[in-house]
Amino acid sequence: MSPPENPDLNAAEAAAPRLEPGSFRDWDSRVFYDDGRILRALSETGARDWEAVARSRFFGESVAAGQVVETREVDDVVVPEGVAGGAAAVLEHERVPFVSYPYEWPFAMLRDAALLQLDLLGRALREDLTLKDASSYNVQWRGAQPIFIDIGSFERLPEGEPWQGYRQFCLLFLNPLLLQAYKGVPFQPWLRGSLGGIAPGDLRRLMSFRDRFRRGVMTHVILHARLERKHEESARDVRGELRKAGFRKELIAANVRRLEKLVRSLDWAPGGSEWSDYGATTSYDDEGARRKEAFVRQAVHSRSWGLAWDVGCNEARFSRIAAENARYVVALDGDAAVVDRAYRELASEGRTDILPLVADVTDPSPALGWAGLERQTLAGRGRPELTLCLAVIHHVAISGNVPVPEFLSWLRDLGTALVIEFPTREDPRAAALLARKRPGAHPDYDREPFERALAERFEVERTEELAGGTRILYFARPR
Amino acid sequence: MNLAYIDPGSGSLILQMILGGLAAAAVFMKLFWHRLMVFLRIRKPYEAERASESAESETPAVERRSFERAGEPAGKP
Repeated sequence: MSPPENPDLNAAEAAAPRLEPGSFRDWDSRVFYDDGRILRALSETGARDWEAVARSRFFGESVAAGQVVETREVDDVVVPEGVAGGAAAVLEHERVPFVSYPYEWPFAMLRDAALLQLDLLGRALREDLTLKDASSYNVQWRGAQPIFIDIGSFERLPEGEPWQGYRQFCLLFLNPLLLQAYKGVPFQPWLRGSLGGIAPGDLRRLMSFRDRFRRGVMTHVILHARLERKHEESARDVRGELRKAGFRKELIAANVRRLEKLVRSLDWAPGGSEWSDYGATTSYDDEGARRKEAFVRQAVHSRSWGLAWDVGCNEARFSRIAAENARYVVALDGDAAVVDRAYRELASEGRTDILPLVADVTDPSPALGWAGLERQTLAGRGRPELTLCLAVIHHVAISGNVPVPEFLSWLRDLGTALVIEFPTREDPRAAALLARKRPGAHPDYDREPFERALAERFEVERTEELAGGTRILYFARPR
Repeated sequence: MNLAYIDPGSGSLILQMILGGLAAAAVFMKLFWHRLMVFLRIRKPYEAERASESAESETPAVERRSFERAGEPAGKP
């Protein structure tokens, strides 16, 4: 499994070569950084695999089509000491703009990532190459376009062996998709709680009698779970037996085609999600909406920005405005349904500059995995220079119970400039949220204390009142 | 033997063999069905079908119609 790189290296760390802490599983291929470059040390075996991959036609085609990161062999770097036995070859990879994890993707993103994985495997097989694993963490994004980053996954096809990555494909791609498509249960919390994915035995327990007859369940879930239980302790040389029985790559290819058909057939239609119709029923009339857009656009064009975040992005309308003058926009929303819809639209437009992610700012992705270093926090993967917080603070403060000053401190600590919208207590949406609380709750949620807290942390450059003064926009820079 | 760095799981490997077997059985069944159809004279043998296909592509549209009627498969398995 290869680790995505950290684009937020600070200068001191970036100066000396250092190993990526999440890249330790595959001893034939280890990622490290040097001076902001993303490098990969290959063992003898890894180097021979790379030679075969680099020669293949499908690899060149995949890189040209933007499906695989651009990669070249380099010889001007020193390999860090942690790489046992040194390196037979070193590769340098293109950087992806912002690293994300499968537990932050909506359904359609995980499905497209699965299809990319299968497509690469199917084409690799034709040239006697294969993928040694199938981790969804090996897929990253250029906006709404999936891109495969783990060149170390490709290897020469061992003759007579089945696909080593099949089990991992089920755990990290297929089972999460089946869970959401057939049971309507979001996979993100489960994947966040279990980096290894969803085991067939666990998913099997959730499948009803009727589910057994749905596509893919009988074989990939029920039979898989049974065989896994039966052979758990087995020391049998299954691989040797399979080879003797004449296992051929055509059988892998046939399985890949079946998996591809299955994955394509899976879909998720969100039911009445809280905000899925939000865009259509905003709190503004046309004039208000136009002024709000103009305010955001003016802030966006006040200078050029590197990374921008759109917190509570909804349909990513303002993410698109941010993208007019930011190098890359990460569009965050806690509602998987709206992010799923935003992704499908962005993907159909071929956008490569806006990455939509499922993320609740009151509970952002933590550091996870071995030593707490394999998967990084949301902010650890790239701090924004500009953050849009439009129509979001009442959710954070009233529904999420996060005190307003603490939310502003969190934003201040990101070091970001800010376009923030404050709906007053009289705003119908804020009032609706307050009505669910006891009378007098959230006394700190008001214009005057908000402005005081904001001014303590940010330099407010511009404000504008909208909707009869019940919504106020602020453009502020960090103090 | 080329061992992977991940445990591919014995059960998962065996399942792939079973799936492979099923795929092979499906191909066998298709072939058997085709032979049965040929035996019952509902379909033409593969060779004849292929010959008529290449003939179609070289035959002008007017003549092709009669070909199609004769060569139309009764139904796909």
